[in-house]
Amino acid sequence: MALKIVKGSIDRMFDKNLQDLVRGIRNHKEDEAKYISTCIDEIKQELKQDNIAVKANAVCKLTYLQMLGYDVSWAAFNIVEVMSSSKFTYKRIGYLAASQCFHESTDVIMLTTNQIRKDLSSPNQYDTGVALTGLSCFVTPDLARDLANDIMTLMSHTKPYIRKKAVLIMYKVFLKYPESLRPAFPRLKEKLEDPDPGVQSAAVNVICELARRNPKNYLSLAPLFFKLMTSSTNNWVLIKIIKLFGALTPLEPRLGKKLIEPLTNLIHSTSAMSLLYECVNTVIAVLISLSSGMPNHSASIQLCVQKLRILIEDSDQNLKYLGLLAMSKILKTHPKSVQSHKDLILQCLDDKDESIRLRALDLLYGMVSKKNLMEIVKKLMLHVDKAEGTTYRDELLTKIIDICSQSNYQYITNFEWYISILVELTRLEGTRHGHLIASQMLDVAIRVKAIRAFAVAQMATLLDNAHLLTGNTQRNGICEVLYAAAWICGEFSEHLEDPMATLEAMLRPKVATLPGHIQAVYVQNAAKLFATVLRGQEGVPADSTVAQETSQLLIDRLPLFVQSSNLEVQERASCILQLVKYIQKLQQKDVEVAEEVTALFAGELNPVAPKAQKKVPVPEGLDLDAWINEPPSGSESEDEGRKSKGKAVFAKEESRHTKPRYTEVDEKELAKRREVRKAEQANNPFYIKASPSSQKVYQDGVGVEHIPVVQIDLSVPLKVPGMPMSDQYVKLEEERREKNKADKKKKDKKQRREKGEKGRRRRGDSGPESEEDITPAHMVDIVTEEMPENALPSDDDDKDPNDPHKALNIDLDNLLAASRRPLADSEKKLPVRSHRPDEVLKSPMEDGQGVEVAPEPKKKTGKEKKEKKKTKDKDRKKSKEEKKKKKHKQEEGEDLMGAGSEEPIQPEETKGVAAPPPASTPEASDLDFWLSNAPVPSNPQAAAEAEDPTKMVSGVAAVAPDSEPEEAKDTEPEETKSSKHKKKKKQKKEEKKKKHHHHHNHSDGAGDESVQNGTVEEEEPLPPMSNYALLAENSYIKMMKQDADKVCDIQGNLQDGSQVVVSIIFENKCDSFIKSMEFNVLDSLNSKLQRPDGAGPHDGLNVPFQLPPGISNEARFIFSVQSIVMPQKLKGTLTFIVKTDDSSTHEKLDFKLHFTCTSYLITTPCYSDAYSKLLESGDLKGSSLKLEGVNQPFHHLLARICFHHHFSVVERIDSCASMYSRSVQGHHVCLLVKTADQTVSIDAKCDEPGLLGNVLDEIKLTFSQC
Amino acid sequence: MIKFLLMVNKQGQTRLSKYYERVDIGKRPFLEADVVKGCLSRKKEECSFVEYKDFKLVYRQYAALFIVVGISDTENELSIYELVHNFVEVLDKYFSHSELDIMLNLDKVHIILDEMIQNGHIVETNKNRILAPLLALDQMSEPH
Repeated sequence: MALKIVKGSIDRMFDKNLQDLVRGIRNHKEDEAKYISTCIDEIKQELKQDNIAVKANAVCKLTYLQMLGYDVSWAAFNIVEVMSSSKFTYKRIGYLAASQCFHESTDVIMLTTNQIRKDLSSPNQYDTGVALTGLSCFVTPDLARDLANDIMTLMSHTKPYIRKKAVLIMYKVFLKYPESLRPAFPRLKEKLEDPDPGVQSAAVNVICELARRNPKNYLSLAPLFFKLMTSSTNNWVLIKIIKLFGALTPLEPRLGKKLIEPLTNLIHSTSAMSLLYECVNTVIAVLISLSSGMPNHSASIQLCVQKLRILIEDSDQNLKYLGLLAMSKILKTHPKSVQSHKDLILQCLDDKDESIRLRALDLLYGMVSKKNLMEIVKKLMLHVDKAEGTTYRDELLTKIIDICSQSNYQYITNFEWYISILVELTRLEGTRHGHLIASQMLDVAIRVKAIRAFAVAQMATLLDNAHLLTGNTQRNGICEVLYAAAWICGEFSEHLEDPMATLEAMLRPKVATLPGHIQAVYVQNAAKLFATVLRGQEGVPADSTVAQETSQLLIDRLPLFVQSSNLEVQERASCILQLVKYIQKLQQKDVEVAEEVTALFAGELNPVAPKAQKKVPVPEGLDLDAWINEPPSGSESEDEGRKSKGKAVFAKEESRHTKPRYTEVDEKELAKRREVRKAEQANNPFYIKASPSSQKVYQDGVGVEHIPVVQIDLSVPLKVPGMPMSDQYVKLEEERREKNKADKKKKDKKQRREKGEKGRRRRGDSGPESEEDITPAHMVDIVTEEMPENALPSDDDDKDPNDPHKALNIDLDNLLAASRRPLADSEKKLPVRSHRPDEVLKSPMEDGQGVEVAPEPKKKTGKEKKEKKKTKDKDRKKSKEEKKKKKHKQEEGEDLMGAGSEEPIQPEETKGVAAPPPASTPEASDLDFWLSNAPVPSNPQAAAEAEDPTKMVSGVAAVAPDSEPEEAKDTEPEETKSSKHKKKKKQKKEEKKKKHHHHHNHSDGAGDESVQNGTVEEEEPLPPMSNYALLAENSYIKMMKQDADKVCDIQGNLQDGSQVVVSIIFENKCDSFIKSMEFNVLDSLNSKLQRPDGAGPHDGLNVPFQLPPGISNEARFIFSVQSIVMPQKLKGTLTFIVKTDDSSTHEKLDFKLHFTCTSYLITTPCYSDAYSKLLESGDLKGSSLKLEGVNQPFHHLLARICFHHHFSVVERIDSCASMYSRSVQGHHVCLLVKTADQTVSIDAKCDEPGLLGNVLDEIKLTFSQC
Repeated sequence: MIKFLLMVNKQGQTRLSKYYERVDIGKRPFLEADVVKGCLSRKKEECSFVEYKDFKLVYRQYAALFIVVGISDTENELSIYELVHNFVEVLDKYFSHSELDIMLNLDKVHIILDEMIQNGHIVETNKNRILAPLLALDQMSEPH
């Protein structure tokens, strides 16, 4: 029996799965909480059992309860248990629960590391997948550090699903463990070209997100993304990429120019609204960053605006909303384009959707001009009346004020109108923005002197009607306006017509219901009014009764305020009351008091910049944090009060009474009072409070920063009888404008004079021309606000220090270079580049060894170099830097090329030749080149290449920016520095003759310039070295062969041969058009010209371009070479047609191609220890060479060897250097170069003596020639 | 980026929630209620984007079910709007898509969602690829 019960209850527990729970909750609507708490008890029981199935079920239910808002953190350990189940169905539940419940501070996460690692390496791809997905939700810095290596390995998993997940989770790993970015990035970049579209888009995703946060480090990826953008069809991916470009363009405006075309194409062609919207947004961003006007950009803006108009006109509210949103971005830079759609935007103000109305309001901000401000505001005022919700009405109110006050009241021509608008706005009930209106009133009244009389009159009326405002109790924010009204009336009381009446209005008993801070202002300003009344009466001795009546009025009314619970009010009232009583006594004795009383409030307000206080530099030796006197306990509040006083702007109004009675109370009482006063201060406008929120409220009020000196020439009567209606002013303003127009001729002279003065002022400079005619009735002159002397420059840094992406600001262009230095312990765990199967550049020893070994020696040499550097002259220093740069570039090149294309390195020449300034680092010039070319190349071959940006990039710097992309492919980046240089000169000459481009690529001025700037002559210049040698020439055409042929090794593809790429420049020397060029070479046994499939062994190759007169262009030809030990000479012929206007003739030119052994060498860096191992190995055979009478500096000598013979310097000590190079077929060539007394001795070693002998002969030849 | 995705019914009950930016579990119900209120109160003819505090909500209604996505302002609103539809289509393809299905198969909905959104970014939109792991899972459990 008992057994049965137990069994039954177990059954029940088993039975209640998630579905039962869900149904149960539905069935217990009345006592849901109670039901759930019993369920939780059950779950706790279930979790205690050993059965994993029961546990998983319980965890599953917990996940649901967690979603309903129940805390389930107590079950964290059970979740880990379920996660480690071997059955996928349970494991999945565990991971799901973990991803929903765990966060960084969940301590059991520590326990999961090994489990997750096990799951990651599970043979079941779904185990791995679920672990990766879960990890992305709860990865901690520790987990990221421990698992980065595992995840990175998964990025090369055979299953695309795993690769994709691994790539995605890497993003989270980077965020949590930024050190992993550097080593992981190359692999991540590879994934951009993963064959699986899912993996590819995941990589795009991750890189785009990284790049958007730190765009400058990713500029060099622009070509790659550009290719993806033009080839991808996945809209979501496209959106990502386009967004990324939006982030990159501000850093590289030329990128923007390049983008405009494809983006506009997309805008025209896409049917996906989201993509269209993204394109428009990015075009806008691009155009903003391209602010310097290119004429055709107005077309792009027009296109955007048109498209947006279509969106706004659409019946779909979503499109309408987004259209307006995007429009507001255009507004900032191209207000005129938007202004022409004013009709549409005003129409949107009437939309039934509040979001849309709000967006339309945003736009209005930029649409106003002097001309239409009144009209627009009038329309908005109508909306204010109609508006139903208070939020929208408040929004309208702030927008009206924003619109009117923007750019220092730039568009307001009539301030009476504006004051009336403000007064009308006070009729709004229940608005939160009373203080905003108040601050505007204060601002205008203080800064526009001419308006004061009018403002004071209006404010007096407001005060008189105060019952309207106070009617709605304190919660009504609008009563804040009275604060401004009372202050204005008091401060400028000399303008009051009937100060007595205003005084009476301010002392009405109802005032006591206002908030304390307003009452305080009332009391204070009543005193000011009192002074004014006295002064007004003084001149008329007969009528001293009025003055006495005024005193009496104050004495009668002030006691009400003395009783106020608000300390500020009380203090001021009692003080003033005593003062008035005393004055009354004097009055009764007929003493003249007016002058003394007025003196209490004498003085003019000066403008103080809002930041002035902050900018006062701390005097030397002053420690603001140090106590002057050790504080008695609990005096902080006192101190705070003092501090805040210092910040108060209206300093003269501060109450500084220190009442003697306070001194005698005990400590407790003191503390209590302090509290009260603190509260008091919180409500007092003249104290700047510590809390930022309350400070903000009054910042505007105090924002009299630009207190103006106003010049006014009133042509309109200021007074309008009765309550002001802004409409009246609209009418008056129109009349005034008419009148002004008529008077204009008369005033012409006068205005010209005025204009001279205006030079100093900012005024209406961006308004349309027609506005020039409207002269404002009042002018707001901007006086530079007062700033403390030697104020510190602004150093506002808005960057969020907590931004996790900050740590990811890693210069990835230098990434591989940096990865050569020894890795930190943690970094070592991450496999660096070991994934790169076909590395083009290998240090000789690196071939056989792990990559991790290599970094160490590199660092050593680097250090040595550094040490040496100090002693070397400046010149050399530069070249060292060059070298470093080149190293980056090498790796960059290698990196971009991935496996196996040509080898872009032969940068040594820069050492001696012109060293480009840092600005044109190889990466930059790569990008420069790419940016300076048109996106669509002119012929199919070029097109094919353009589609492969990796190739393009590898070759980018290769060609002078004005030559064509087809040659770009694989000339060497650095080399071109000089060839570029040379070509430039030539080009320049020729451009004078004829400025014509047969390829439509627009050669980019900026690109040219940067190159020119890049070639800065050094102090001790080397004679320019060129690797282009004249090949053949006749009266029609000149062929230049690149002396140092580009050699490329394709070990994987050709077993017994190598490829040599020959770049030839063809230059048209005649005045006729040259076309149909055919290049042919008589093959030898050893060397063959590579011809397309199907061509016979004697067929020529078409040169893929034509040459207009005076133009040169470069073409590349590939030869396959069997043996590289011997130099080769090949005979060849170029045939072409010379086309003149009336005839065309066939011509031919014979030439000989000379393949030196040097051309088979590849500049390869080598580390000194690898080098010494190589020498020690004994495989190499030696040879030596002596050169007499060489009187060049040693570094020139080295530079020549590097440049002409493709060596790299391994180490250099004084006048001795070791150099290294490697042939395409893997022969090592080592040189030891020494110099003494014009004699250079070269000891060389190589594993192929024939090759070595020939190379040495060639080196000898090089030096005999110079 | 996507900050969270919610599925709520017309009564404002959360049927699914997924956060991509950490929100305290204690604060979630409050946030959800607030967000849902903002969306439910809107009329049909109003646009589907709501500015909420410092981020935006994109919502779509399917019968009695609302899907609300909270996004940062750098996200493309329309693409999220389309994503929501894509998500629903995937759910439709797998379930018959009623509120009850989603409640009863919460874990599977999560699997789908995890395939589509990760780290707060859209990562997959191809329906077949999204459903592949789920179908594999079903095959795995069928023999039992």
